This record gives sequence, C-alpha cells and structure tokens, in this order.
Amino acid sequence: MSSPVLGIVLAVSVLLSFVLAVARLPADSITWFSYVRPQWILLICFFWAQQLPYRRGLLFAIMFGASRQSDDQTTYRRGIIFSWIFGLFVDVLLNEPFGLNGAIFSSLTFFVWRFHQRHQMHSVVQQSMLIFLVIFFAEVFRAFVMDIVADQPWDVLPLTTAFSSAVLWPFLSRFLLRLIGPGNN
Amino acid sequence: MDSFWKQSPHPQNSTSITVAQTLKETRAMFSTPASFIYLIAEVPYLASDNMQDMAADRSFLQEQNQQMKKMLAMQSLQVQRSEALKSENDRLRELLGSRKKLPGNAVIAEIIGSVPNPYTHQVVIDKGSADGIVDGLGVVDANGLFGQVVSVGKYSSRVLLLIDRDHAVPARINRTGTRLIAGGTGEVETLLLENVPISTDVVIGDLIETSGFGGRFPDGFPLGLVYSVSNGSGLTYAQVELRPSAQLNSTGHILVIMPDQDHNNFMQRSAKLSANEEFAQ
Repeated sequence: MSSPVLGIVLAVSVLLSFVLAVARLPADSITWFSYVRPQWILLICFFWAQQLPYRRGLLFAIMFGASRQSDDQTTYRRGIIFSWIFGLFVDVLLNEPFGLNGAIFSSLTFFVWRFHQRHQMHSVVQQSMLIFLVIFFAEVFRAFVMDIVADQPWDVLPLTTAFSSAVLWPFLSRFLLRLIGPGNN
Repeated sequence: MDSFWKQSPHPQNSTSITVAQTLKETRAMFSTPASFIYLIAEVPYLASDNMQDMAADRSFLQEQNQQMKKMLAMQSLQVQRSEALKSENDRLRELLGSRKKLPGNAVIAEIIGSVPNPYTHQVVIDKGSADGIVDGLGVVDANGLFGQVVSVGKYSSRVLLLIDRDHAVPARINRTGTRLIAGGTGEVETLLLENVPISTDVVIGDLIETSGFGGRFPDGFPLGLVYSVSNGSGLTYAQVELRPSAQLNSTGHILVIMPDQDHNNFMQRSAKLSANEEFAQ
C-alpha cells in the first residue's frame, strides 16, 4: 500500500477511535456500557506505534503523511513529544486535566518503540495479554491522577476496560493489518 | 525555596493567572474540533430523528399539530400574564430602589453529546462564544434547572449538570422560603440538600427552587421535588433528597439564560474571582 493511502487509513482510524470513545448508547442510563467500553484511542495508538516504529509519532504521521522515515535519536524524541501534544487534544475531548493523556500516550509510545521487535514475535494471545497489562497500568495511572485532581472514587474501571480492550485487540489488529496489507513494517 | 514562598502574596498580580488563562484559551481552541467529534458520534441519533419525522404518517402529524396548537394557546396566555407581571414587578422594584431584575432572553441550544466518563455529568451543546455564550451562565430545560456552562469554545460549550458531584446550587423551599444548598450526588435521579438542620420544615413533595443567591442562577427556577426526608434523632443534619425536575437524561433542546448588562459585569467579576480561587487551591 502506498504511503498517502496509508496516511489516510491512519487518519481515519484515529478519527474513528475518537468517535467510538465518545459515542453513547440510545439510553444514557445504561451505565454498565461505560465500564466495558474498550480504550479505543489507546488501542489505535498502540497499533500505529507498533506498525510505524520509525515514524515521528502519531500526530506527525497524521499531519505529514506516513512517508518520512528515519530512526535517529532526534526523531525518536520528537515522536514522544508529538504523542504528548496528541494527548492534549484527547484531554479536551474527554474533559480531563491537561497533560494526563499526553503522559499516557508518550509513555505508551516509548514502551512500544522500545520493545516493538520483541512484540512482533509474540502470538496473538500473548499480544492480548500485553495489551491487558499496558492498558491496566495506564488506566490505574489515570484513576490515580483523577483521584487527586478531581476527587473521583477508585473503581473496577481500569480492570474492566483493560479486559474488554484485550478481548478486542486480536480482531482490531487483524482487521487493520488486512487493511494496510503486508510489507509496511 | 524560601523565595518561592515569599513571592506574590496576591495571586491576582502574579503571572500564574496569565498561565491559567492561557491554558483555558488552549482548551477553548481544542474544543472546537472536539465538539466536531461529538457531532459525528451523534449523527446516528440525529439521522434517526429525521427519519422518524419523515416516516410519520399524516394523521399522527395532524394530531400532534392539534395538541401543539392547544399547548401554544395555553402558554401564550401565560406569557401575556407573565409579561404584565414582569413589568409590574420591575416597576415595583424600581420604586423600592432594588436593582435586581428578572433575566432577559435565552438562547436555544441543542445537546450534541455527553462526556463519556461515568463520574462526571457534562454535556456538549452546539452554541459557543459566537452566539454570546460566556462561562458560568445558567442552563434550563422545559421543566427546570439543568446546570451551568463551564467551558466555552467558539461554536460549542460544555454544560455541567446540576447532579454532578462538583455542582451545588443556592436553593430555597418554595413553601416556606427557607434557604438551602442543593448539591449533586453523581446519580441522575438524586439531588441532596446539604446541611439541613433537623428542625427545618421540609416534607415529601416540597418544591425546591433556585434562590438566586450568589448571582449565578436567576431565582425561581424549579430544581426538583423532595422524595425522601430522614430527620430522626442521632443525625446531625436531616437527610433530604430530591428528584430533579429537568429531564437530565434526554437529548433534546435546552435554554441558556442570557444575562442583562449589570449581570454580565457581575459574572465577569466573579469569573475573575473564581480564577483566583482556582489558583489559590
């Protein structure tokens, strides 16, 4: 698949993940839905960080297309910073304190880039387990910050969303891999 | 470290206010594309509403039309009376030397999404600073007080519902005039009257309305009906719960109450004050 098309798939998938992250069911009173809502944005961020390890991060790839590629240290650092800026928008979208999602996304990007070659050796089930752990820790961090800043109570939310995300991951990654085709790593 | 504690005893004079202001503006800038995302998520519901309107048959529409005409006639009668009462009220207040006036007009807004966090209750509306919305305006729906505007973008704003845990309204009991505070509980069906003395005269079925204190909300908007009172011995305060009048779960239209000029100045002052308070925390 050519780079501009890859860029379009990337942008559309990110936009869709935003929409799915804020979409609601017809009756707002169905509260259990928000407990099993997968972390769409984190999943998409994880997927693209894994597939495009040498690009300059999600935001840069959206803005300039996924064509530019290099693997020096500056690009690496810039990628982390762009992930953080990408998080600022998600902060506004989900109405959370400024910088919270930035910290989560840049840590996630760092983690994935650091170990991406090892991740790609894993089977689907192992990847799902990894997703569960990563999203669980990310959500525990979010809950910790929201407890301090907004006095929100602790809940089973990190556990349930991590579980539903881990269940979703094989289907999502397979679907997106089919879409972008082989040979894009 | 010592100099850190010594600097700027008055937060109004420090640069931190500017930083807080810049952060707020950045949020406002990002909030326009964010509201676009909410709008996309809402498209299925908007489309299905449209489809329902298109598919409705003639007799149903005629019936609906008749009902609405009747309702309009009833309400226009009330509006005529209230106009007369309002002008009389203003005249009397003028005679008394009171500067307080009833609120002017309102802006109709549509709810285009709700923030997907189970612990906060906020909705996104499709009117922003381009329509004259400012921070802190009261929002009502057809049945009662809905909440207040907490952040304003260019074409959209966010409204904090009155049932949110962070929200509280100066209230009074309609029957007796006792002043109270109605706080949110985080549950859609329940508001809690805070720090009510055991001896307060409040019974199940009492209407609680806004008192207008604090200047943020106009007075006289219904908040809800009391559905549970427990003031037995052993309690420090009576536990009084009410059911909100407003349809907080629905996704229809709401009204943002626009202030008159005096009130506007007041709001700007109080917004500045609250920015300082935020910093002080």
